[in-house]
Amino acid sequence: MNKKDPFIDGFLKGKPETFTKLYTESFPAVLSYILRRGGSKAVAEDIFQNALVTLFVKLKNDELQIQSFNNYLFTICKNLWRRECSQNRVTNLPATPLMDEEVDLAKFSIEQKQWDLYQEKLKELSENCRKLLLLSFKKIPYKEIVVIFNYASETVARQRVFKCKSRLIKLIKNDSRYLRLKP
Amino acid sequence: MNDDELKNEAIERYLLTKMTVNEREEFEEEMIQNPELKEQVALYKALYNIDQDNDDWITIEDNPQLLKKEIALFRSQETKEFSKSLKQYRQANTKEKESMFKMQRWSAIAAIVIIGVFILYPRSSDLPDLYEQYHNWEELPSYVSKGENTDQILEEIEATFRSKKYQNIITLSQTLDPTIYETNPQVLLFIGVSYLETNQYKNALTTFDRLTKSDGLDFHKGYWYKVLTFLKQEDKENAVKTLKTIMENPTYYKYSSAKELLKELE
Repeated sequence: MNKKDPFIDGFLKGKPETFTKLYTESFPAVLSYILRRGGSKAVAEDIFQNALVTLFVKLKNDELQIQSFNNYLFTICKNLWRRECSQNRVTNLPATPLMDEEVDLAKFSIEQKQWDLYQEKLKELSENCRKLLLLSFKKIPYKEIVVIFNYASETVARQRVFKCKSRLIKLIKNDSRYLRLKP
Repeated sequence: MNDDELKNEAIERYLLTKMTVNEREEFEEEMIQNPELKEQVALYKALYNIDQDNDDWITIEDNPQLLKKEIALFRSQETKEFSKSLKQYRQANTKEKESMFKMQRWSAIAAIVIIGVFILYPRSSDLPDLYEQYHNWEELPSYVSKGENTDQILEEIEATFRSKKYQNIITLSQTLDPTIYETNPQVLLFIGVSYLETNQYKNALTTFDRLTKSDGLDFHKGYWYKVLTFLKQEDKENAVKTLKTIMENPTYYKYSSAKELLKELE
């Protein structure tokens, strides 16, 4: 999908009929996802609005390659919700003044760009490596990975994860976007 | 273990808080002295965000210059105007709904009764929502990026699919050389989803079944797409049954999502 797509064009121009379509067709799935995880309708509405603003900035300024507007919007909402949950959980941090909404969204936007890059590179790995890494990112212990993949020992599992992770990191670092996005 | 493996293990132990207090202090000191190590730790940390089934989101340290540029984009006039029109739309829409609700008291009471029924019997009416939530056609394999050796017909199928011409895929599938299903069984996913998108559920299920019975490495993806078909059909019993098949093997496609979905359905 690109900026010439009539729907994206309407979105970027802020046409009310585009918003109606988004609120009637895309918002219900986001609302359902957040309510099921203990969030409220108000939180779901804020997340949806922030996701739309993030997507607006991305579409205006990045060469964004998305295959489905709706699916990508849902991905952004999911990540914003995960971020919201993680921030609420961290209660032992020293009190900081409330962050400006635009600054917070700008921070998230960078994190989302990094996430997009990592996802893209993960897809370039073999199916086996992808599965292994996803288990490792879920923090599944090596002794369980040994059973799932029928490896001879934990050392073998550790080495395989290491090799796949190194491959992924190499792919990420070799991409020109990494230099722009790294902390 | 070589140096890289040792470094990898140290980073993992640091991130999984498996270091002793002393080890941790030493490691943090080393990060201050060694920016390359600090960068590697930040990247390892951010990689944990990849898994969307994970509720955690790790925020990493900002790159001040990049952040400054990004903030400028969010504070630009056009973004502010967009945000304002979105807020206005939301407010107008909520007000409109509220006034309608006040005016049509009897309709409101009827709505409450209906909501009550939904609370008592939420399952089958939730299935289309779950379908909306869990289906993601962007996860289908891509043939375009695999380079010169890719079969042209596969690229054509993918491009037709991406432009949502599902009926064309179905027609095209009837002219395909059957050997393609042996060499590229995943093409069945595009065909099955096209049947699903055009509400031809029986054909969708037969197509996904064909994938589960194939010799392809990804045969188990067929189970997940069968689950999606059952959700769209509002067939809870078969959705649960197929989810249980996925739960038999943690390496099966969408194992974590299946676990989560099963919990919601049961």
